[in-house]
Amino acid sequence: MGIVLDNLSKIENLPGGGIALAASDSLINWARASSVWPLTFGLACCAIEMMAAYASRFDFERMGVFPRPTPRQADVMFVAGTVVKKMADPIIRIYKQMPEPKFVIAMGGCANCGGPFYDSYSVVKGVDKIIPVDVYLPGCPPRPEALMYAVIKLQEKMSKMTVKGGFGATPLQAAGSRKLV
Amino acid sequence: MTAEEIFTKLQASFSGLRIAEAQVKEYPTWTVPAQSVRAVFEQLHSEFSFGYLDVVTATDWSGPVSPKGYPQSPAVAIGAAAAPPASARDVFEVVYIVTALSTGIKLCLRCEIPRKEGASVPSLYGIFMAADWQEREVYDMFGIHFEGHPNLKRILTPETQQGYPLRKDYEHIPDKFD
Amino acid sequence: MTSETPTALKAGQMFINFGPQHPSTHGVLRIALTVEGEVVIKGDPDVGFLHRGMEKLFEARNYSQALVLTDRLDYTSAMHNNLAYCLAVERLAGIQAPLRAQYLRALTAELNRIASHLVFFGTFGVDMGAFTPFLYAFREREMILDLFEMLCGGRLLYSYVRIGGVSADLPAGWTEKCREFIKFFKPMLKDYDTLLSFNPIFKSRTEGVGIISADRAVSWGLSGPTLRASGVNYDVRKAEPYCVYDKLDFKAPIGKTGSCWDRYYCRMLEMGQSAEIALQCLDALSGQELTPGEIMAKGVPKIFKPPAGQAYAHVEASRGDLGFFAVSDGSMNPYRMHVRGPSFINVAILQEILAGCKIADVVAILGSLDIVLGEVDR
Repeated sequence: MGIVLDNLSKIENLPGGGIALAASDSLINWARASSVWPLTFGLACCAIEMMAAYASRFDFERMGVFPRPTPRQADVMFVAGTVVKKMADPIIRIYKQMPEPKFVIAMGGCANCGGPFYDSYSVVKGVDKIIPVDVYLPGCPPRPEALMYAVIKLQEKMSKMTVKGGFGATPLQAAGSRKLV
Repeated sequence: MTAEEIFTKLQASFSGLRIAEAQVKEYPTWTVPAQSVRAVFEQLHSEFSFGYLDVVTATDWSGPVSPKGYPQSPAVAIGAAAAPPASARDVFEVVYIVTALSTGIKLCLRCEIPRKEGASVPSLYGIFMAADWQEREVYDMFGIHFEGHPNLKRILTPETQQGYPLRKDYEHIPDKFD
Repeated sequence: MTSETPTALKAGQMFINFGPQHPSTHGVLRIALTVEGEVVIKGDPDVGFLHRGMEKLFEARNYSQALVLTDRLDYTSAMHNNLAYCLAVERLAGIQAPLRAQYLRALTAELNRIASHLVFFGTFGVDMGAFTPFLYAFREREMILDLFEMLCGGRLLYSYVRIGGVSADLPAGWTEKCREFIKFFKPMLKDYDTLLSFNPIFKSRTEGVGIISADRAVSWGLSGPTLRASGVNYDVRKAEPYCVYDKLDFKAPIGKTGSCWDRYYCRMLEMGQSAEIALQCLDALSGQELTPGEIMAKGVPKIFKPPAGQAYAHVEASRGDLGFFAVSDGSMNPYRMHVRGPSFINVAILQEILAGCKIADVVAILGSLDIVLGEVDR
């Protein structure tokens, strides 16, 4: 309850129990940030570090991060690995299948900017050329702790969202994904 | 039976078979003319029990790689400034490496074909199933046709790819993702 | 989207895309399945969703820079990729790494084989519906990754094996930690057997499924545990020993029927053998004959230009027979560097063995082939 209490504007104590009134923004954002469900979207080497983040030592699930295999049930997409031109269309399709509000974490050098393959004829130089990205995570591959830090940054971004005015998302997200390629 | 004995026996039936000048290190290397490729391998497979095809690949000998094949690369300037080496010729060379599992003998066979439109080599599909995808990859990367291959389509690059990437004079045409 | 649109689907048949985004495809592989009810009529693997053009990039980098790219081929067992590349380039230049470096190479390669097979064990269990082995596998794997991090700084991609030797010698305390790990790990293999290998549900899903006979396996050019499970005794470490494998005592497990279970169990046995090899290497490295610090061959120049020529070197990587065909024209960049990826060649057999099995069997067969898409697509 400590998180909610910090954001409260008013506390009213009634006999027989306590009621807390919080701005609906903080409540919704707290719920969103505490259960970030990513799509298992490992493309290349970063996928192995992503799997290690879910496994016994780093245990992502204690942060509420529970991997979902289908985009229809996912909040965030970790683009973990190199985006190749042949894969670009499936990525856009999957991004469109995710329900709003959705986020993208570009994990690793290849997803950020092409990485070590920046001059290849078949690599898209960064996934932000095809879908909007919220958090960029550098590394080749980034450690699982780094991925957790990226999720924490995403949670901080989520905590700034507001119910009115387009969810605090990027302009492209606010317009919806109909404008994509 | 050693590699030399196999060579002498095969040369009796295929006069175009030669010992290669530039040997692949630690592999007995022979050159084979394009039209005898399938027949030589059939005999290697049936008579000398060479049943395991390791590698099918190709080299483009036409000189240093063109920097236009790399979108925005600062790295290629170093290599491109080198003078064309003495061994630059206008040929493709298809390389096969094959092993006999029972005896442990391994061979490398190379086949030179002129570097022009419609360059082709007989396919080894049917003798070795391992040739199926490796020949498709060589076609995808170099444009070399393998006669007799039932499914010679691009395998690694998407259908929107124009040109054959591993050729030395490949020029990258920017598409919607560049 | 790449099209494999079926032209003639009979009534009652359906076309399903298995991938490229799918939790069980171990990466971005697409299999175009034509199914009739639960039975697969035709399965066509479609690769290239991770094709990064590495062979073209090799020609734009110099030999040391290309080494860094080779890590990213089979990313679960990066040591083997580096090793095969360095052996090919060393063969071109006529360099021989010192004996201590060769023992270090063999030691790290075998530890990496254990780590890679643990990934296989965990993900194969998840494919079959068993989640617990995944957690055990990654717990052991983290210990190995800690050892690698102590040694060379990398958890997953190392560039540890360099042209002429290795990049660093064992730090103080590493040998004790490694022995501790192997002592902990060996009894775990029996635990895995009780947990998964002889589990009746697992056995009924994998035994008798995806049978590959020995002559089909040889014709299709399979390698690694996939080949040995069909009964073919071919292991590059025994057939053409490299590094110090001719001095080490180990067995390559051979299977009987070539079913998914055989392929799985060969890998489990291989983990035990790799642990034995690692112990032998540790004993040799702590002995008196190998001078500590001699990890790089003498006379390897900083600007590395091997003489013009061609060479092929292959190693027994975790996935199979990984080879590098190197052509040099005397300049700083490789003229041609071809990677013989075992997973690329292993995946091709799916065209033949998927017909007639059930959809659930597709997952079992694909998992048992143990492919890594970085190696398939390069």
